[in-house]
Amino acid sequence: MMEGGNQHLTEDQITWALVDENDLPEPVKKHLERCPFCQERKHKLETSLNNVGELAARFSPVPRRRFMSERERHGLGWAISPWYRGVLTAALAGFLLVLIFGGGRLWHPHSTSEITAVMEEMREDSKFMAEVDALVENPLPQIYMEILGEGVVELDMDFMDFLVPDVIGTEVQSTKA
Amino acid sequence: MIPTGKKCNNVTQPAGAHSDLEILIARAQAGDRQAFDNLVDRFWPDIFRMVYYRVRSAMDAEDLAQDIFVVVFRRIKSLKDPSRFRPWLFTIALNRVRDFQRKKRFREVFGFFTGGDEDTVGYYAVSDEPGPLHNIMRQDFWERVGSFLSKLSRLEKEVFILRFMDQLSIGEIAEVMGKGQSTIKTHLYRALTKFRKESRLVGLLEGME
Repeated sequence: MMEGGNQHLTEDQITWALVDENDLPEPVKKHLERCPFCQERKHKLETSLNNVGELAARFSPVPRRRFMSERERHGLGWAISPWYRGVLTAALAGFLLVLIFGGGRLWHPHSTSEITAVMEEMREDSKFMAEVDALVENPLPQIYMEILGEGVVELDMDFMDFLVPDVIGTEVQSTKA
Repeated sequence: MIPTGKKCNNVTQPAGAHSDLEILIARAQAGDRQAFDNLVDRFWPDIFRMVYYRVRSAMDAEDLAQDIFVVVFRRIKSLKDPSRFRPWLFTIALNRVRDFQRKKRFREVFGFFTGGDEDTVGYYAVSDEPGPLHNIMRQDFWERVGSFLSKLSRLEKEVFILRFMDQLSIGEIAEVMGKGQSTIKTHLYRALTKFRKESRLVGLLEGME
């Protein structure tokens, strides 16, 4: 279609006019300025796009909460500063250490003596068992062992064979002979 | 009138003049808590809606808006040019939303998250026009918008939402997305071409006139 010797804007040019009218070629821009038909087409699309924004806002919920700073949010405003946060962390860590490694003492004040008694008992038991083991190995006291010479002589199997020869082996040999 | 970005570019102000917003930002940067609260009051609804358009859950939108302003509170001193506050704020918001969506996808992949997009609008008051007809219209609108947006590429979608729903200017969108203005215009042009073909949505919107 023609208007005053100029062509009407194409659909693409109308679209571009909505993106940025200044980017249209000069003759197209001039035509748009004076052509009511093209202006109407542009206006129609423009209105639809404006309605998108308007309806989007109208059909959006209204926020119920207001902004809360970090202090308000946590309800411990003073504790949020880095210095207090460090102190709090250290205190908490210390408390946990005490709880883990020494917690029993806090709740059972008599447990120290109980633990000591048990430890002492265990020590006595192991001492007694050591004495029993020593007696099993050598029933005679060390001094008698030295008198007997067993402390000096090494009683290995060869020496015992020399002292007490194997009777069964000898019998077999004599039978063969 | 197509949105030209909200009043933060000060193009009509004489040189050296500062807008109320810039003064407020300067005070907030100096540690004035009252100024920061005023700043939050001014932008809280915009950011809440900006997040809601992308996550479609009112509760998540509130949580994310909260997180976004906590980041703003921490970083406001690093903002060099107060006149660029709005794109700066939207950059933080967009990054936070992307982060949320990434985590949500991750949870979905590994089965930690069972629900889809939940529109908790029933839990929240929708503006001041409750009622069954309003709810039907709302549902219909979001369904048509969702259908249209699903046909756009990621960048086309983001540019379209920033331009026509968040009401940012081309320059602000370029800043928020870290891309050149010509790139933004190209994506916007493609999105608008698809929009014109979306007869269901366009029909609804034309009926609003």
